[in-house]
Amino acid sequence: METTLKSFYRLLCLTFLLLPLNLFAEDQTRIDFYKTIRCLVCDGQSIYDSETVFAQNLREQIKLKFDEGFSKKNIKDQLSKIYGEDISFQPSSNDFFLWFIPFLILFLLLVFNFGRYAKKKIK
Amino acid sequence: MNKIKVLIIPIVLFLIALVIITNLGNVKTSVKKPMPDLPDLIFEELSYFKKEAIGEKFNNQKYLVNFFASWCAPCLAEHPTFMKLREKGVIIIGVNFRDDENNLNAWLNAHGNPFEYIIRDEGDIAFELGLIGVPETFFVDGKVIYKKVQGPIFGDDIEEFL
Repeated sequence: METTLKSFYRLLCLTFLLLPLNLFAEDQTRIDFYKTIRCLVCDGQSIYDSETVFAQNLREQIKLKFDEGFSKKNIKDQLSKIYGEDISFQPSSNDFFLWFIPFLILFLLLVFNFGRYAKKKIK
Repeated sequence: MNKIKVLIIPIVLFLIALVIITNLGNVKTSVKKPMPDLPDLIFEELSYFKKEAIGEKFNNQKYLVNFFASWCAPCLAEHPTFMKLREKGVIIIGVNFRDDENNLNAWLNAHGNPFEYIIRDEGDIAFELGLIGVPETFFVDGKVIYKKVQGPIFGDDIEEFL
């Protein structure tokens, strides 16, 4: 009986010790998210870096959304719907495709030109 | 020489493509977002002075929703325009954004109250409407926002009400 109580007591202590770590992890997730959201009234700052009323309000509203259990994706979608895609520093998948095109062109041209150069050399 | 050509041509074309893509991005940002309807939250909030919800009173008419704060200097600049509108019978709902209650009362006492209703907002209404800052004024018909002015309002903006 005494051993069971001791084990329970140890488990309880451990839970209380680990609780702040969990809270810290939640905070860190939120902070990392703030850093991906652009402050629309500042020059190149995220809402994490800015102390404008806009950034303060957005931080508070995002915190509330996190507390209500919304996922990062849900919150980001909601922000994009309200403020437009510009609110996020991370481009959407469409933008990734757009940025990929120049690299594809570069690769194809290099292959084509080196092919021609190699043919000429053989001749 | 040939080796240089082989490298330079693709790199130049690559840079041209990069510039075009970058500009495509700029064009995209200038596209206007469709305006949202006025959130129901506004109609459910209790008016600061009248202690009643706005409800469905303005379903079939045009009115203004103005976000303001006592700490906001440009709000004071547009205040006389709102006082004039009030005299002409235009309905203005004031949304007092992240403000101190005592400061709000002092501000209204000093400069006059042009608002039919005042709602106090800690930021959630502003968030739903995508507010960038104060002052910001929404022109509403029923519940549909048909125009938005960011920054202080002057004569040209409210021609339709004069």
